[in-house]
Amino acid sequence: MTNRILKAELYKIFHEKWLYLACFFMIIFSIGFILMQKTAMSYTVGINRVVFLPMVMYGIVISVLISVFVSEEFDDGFIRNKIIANNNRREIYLTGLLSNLIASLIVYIITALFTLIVSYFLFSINISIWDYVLYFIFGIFIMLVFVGIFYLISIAVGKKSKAIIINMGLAFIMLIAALIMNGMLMADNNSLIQFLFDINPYGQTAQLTSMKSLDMRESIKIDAFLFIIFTICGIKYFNKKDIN
Amino acid sequence: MNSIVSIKNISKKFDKTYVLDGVTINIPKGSICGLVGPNGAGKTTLLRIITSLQNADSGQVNVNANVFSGLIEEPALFYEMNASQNITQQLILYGLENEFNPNDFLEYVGLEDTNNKKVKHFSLGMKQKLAIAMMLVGNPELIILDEPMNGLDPQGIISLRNLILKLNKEGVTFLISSHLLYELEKIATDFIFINHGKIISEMTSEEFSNANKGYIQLEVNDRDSFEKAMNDLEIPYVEADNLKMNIFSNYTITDLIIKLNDYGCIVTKCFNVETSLEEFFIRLMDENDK
Repeated sequence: MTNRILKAELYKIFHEKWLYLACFFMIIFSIGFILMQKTAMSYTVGINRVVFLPMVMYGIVISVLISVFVSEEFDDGFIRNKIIANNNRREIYLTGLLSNLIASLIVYIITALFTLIVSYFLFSINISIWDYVLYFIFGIFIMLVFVGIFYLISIAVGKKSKAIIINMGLAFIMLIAALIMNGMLMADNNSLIQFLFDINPYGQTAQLTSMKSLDMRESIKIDAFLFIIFTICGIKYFNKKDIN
Repeated sequence: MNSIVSIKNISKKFDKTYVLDGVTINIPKGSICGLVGPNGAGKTTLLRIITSLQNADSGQVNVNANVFSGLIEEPALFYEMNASQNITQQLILYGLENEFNPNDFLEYVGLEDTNNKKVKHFSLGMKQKLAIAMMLVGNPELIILDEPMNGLDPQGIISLRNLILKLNKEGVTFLISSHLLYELEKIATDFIFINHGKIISEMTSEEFSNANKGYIQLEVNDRDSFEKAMNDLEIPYVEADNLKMNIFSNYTITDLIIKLNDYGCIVTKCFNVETSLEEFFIRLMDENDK
């Protein structure tokens, strides 16, 4: 049954415009960041400073994407169809989460590969393939946290405009908090600030975009832990939720 | 009796108010069961609980159907897709995309000519038909419909009625909530009446016909002798006007005239009045509210 629901979810996702729009916007952001780095700096910029830079916008874009996917299921009644077709809410939550992960991963891969290919011809190569792959995987773990929290919020809220406002707002708050904490850490190495910076997916995104992870293994563990926590909370909440 | 849905002592509260209060019902397999009640009686909540869209605070729900479908309030459709893509989506959900052609379902409800028209451009009747077509995917044993005739034109109502009867003949059980009682009366084999979250009456259409053959309206010359006769013979009646009485009994008009005559009461006018489901429902609600 899980397989069928997942297939039906993906059929819906690929037949709607939102996934394509998200990829389109990320490519636009990628081009913008590449042009900025190419034209604004007087010195030769290394590829390490560009190749994951568009990921600054990734959290915000997928906050909208997931809000739209999930809330449209409430609006068009697909969530009702799934519950009536298969009375197992845990499975429904997990397959929904998985389909959103797949959609977000597609956006991530397209953005990362597009930026890599264009940057390869425009910037000096100062990283190894292995470094790139390692940071690429790190980015996937950051994505897990983003999707986990945005999916949980979207399921809880259910209404499109409200979900977009809350998720996008949260993404901006995390981004601004990461920028502030980054500044504070440059001035003084406070362990509490460091911890908050590490658990903030945007704090990790800052490390990804600069390709300077303080402790990637630790960050990945935190991401996996947060993702599991959000998923458990989401399943527990969804089991009790009345669907309108 | 073989029940397809069996509900035991279901209760549901919203903000300290009971929307359903100890509801116990059985829906017979193969029936078309009409769920009748005024607005706010708890019909939709009951249907939502049967379809697992809402959780009951207490009680048990057993649905003995391998596959069942439900159309609760708004049809669940994807407006950016065409009719065929909507059906395909449902076929995938049931793992049947390689076994059936979406057009078979569209033909069944008369939507085979919609081609690539997006559902957002469909009329209400077309959307309702498409929703029914989607519900047929998976060959459900039970179909739950909440106000399916709302907003349909007369032609749409007739075609939906015929479709329900056709599917019922093929063995599909229906649980239908509707305000259009004259429509429900034409198709339902069973009735469940609900008010203030409680089941107030359950009957088959046969029982309904027997219990509501109608009533006899009499106009008499003397109220006192009429009342004495009715009390002695234990015949229930309702006063329609001063000397105009509505009598609910198995007595024929002739029998009543003779009996009343024995008590010195002369019948000046009399006739049979048929009771519709609508009239029965209003009477039932009045009695329940008292």
